[in-house]
Amino acid sequence: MNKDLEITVSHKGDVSIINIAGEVTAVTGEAIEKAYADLSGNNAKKILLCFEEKSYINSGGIAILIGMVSESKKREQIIRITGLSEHFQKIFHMVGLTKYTQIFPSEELALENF
Amino acid sequence: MQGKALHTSKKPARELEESQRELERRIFHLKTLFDVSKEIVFLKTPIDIMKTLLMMIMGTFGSVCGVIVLINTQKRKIQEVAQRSIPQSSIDALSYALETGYSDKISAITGPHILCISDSTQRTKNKEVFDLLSLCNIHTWIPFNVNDNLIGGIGLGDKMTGDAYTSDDRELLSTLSSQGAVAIQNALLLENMKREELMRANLSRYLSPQIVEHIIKKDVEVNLGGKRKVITILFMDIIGFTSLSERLQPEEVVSFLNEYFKEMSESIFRWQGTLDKFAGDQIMAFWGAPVAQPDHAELAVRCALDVSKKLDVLRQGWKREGKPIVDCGIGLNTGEVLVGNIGVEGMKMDYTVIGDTVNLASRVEKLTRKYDTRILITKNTLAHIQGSLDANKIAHIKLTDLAEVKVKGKEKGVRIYKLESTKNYLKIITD
Repeated sequence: MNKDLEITVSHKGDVSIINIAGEVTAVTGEAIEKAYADLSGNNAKKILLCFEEKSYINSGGIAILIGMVSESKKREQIIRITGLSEHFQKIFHMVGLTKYTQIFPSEELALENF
Repeated sequence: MQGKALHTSKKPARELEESQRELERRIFHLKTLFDVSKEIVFLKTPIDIMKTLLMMIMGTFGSVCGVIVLINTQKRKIQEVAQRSIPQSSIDALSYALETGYSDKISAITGPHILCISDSTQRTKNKEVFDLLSLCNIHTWIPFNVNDNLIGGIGLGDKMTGDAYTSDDRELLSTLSSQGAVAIQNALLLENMKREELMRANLSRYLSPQIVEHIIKKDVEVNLGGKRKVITILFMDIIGFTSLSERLQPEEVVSFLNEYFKEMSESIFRWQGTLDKFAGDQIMAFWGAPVAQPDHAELAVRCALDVSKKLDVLRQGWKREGKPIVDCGIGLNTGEVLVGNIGVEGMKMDYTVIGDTVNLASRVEKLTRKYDTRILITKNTLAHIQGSLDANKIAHIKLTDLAEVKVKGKEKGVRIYKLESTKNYLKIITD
């Protein structure tokens, strides 16, 4: 069974941050989708996905993120990612997510580069 | 020398990197196989399995859009669709095309033939199919079989990387589609079992176990809508119930009624009747619906004789136990009725029968008091069992022509007959 996923939303300046901790799967990832939808509804243009270091993402979770990144292009939003382990950075690169979004080694660096 | 050494060390490093990437890719694919089986094992419905499988596949390959379709080839209908990032209008167009003629083309492409638009030979050979799939920007199609009547297909859009689906990708897709097919088949079997259980529980309330199993196993469509049918109706009523209920405590009356109803219901089910209702101390049953029973009259008559025999045994027991002894009157009539689910949907609805044939059966039952007999049948019922009587299929019975009863709206009445068994199972009990 899936472990819990904890999502919190915060804001720094004009950047909305979705903080993600736990296991991201097709089922638990719906919470991330909802948080993204709520932010989009409020016209957020800059969104940072901030993963906790020990977060785990399976293929279903990656599909959730692919959907969000595809949607962000249509909405002219910028999505950045930080906090991913090296392993998941490689997987994101493998599936082509890094063609459409940038991964940063820290939250500060990600915020500076919006 | 140093230059040559440098040149030699770069190439292995690059190859090493590629090998490392390839290894990580394969590990990721293996992990996907494990995650898919772990995720879908807990899912109970085909649509949930399809949605999860599609997400896992799209996430593994970085596909920008995808669809999984389940097609019932017998009914030529789309059974389920799971999709992601495809406009509903495109899905509707694909579903319409599949249902109106293309399903034959899709079903013709089974087995290991994964279709990829990047393969020029396939593209030429299956142009119509690719044109159809292009409605949803699907460029790769992975077919799978669930069972004899159900086929499916996983359709994927381009990869985010822009790369084509490799032969390794196709191998993994084939394995994942097989996993999905097995999970869907199991879910359908589970759904079928639950449906059967519910059907069994609902039907068992008023149908005999044999008829219930016949309906379930033969998948006979039980038409619960209104229909006109010729059936046989039986009413039975306790004679002496009023004085009994006055003499006993309420809980004793309930206990007595439950014992009586249990015994009588067993006889009705034994003779494959449909138990309509208990109303006070009255029981109503009928034969010939919802499942056709050509021998409905004979079954009803045999049930009446069985009930009579059982009552003799019960009366002996009541006498032995010092309990009040009652008798019952049984009336049978055969004819056309309106049969169906009558009532208010969602509130109170019963599968029952209405019409003059029913009213006459009830009147005939009440006449058992007047004629001091346990079982009365009408000429209508007699006419339906005459063949069996002539063939001696119903033996050891005696029929006595008693009288003619008036029938509403008809000039001519109907003859009624006393029916009794000539076998003396017990010494006659007198109150």
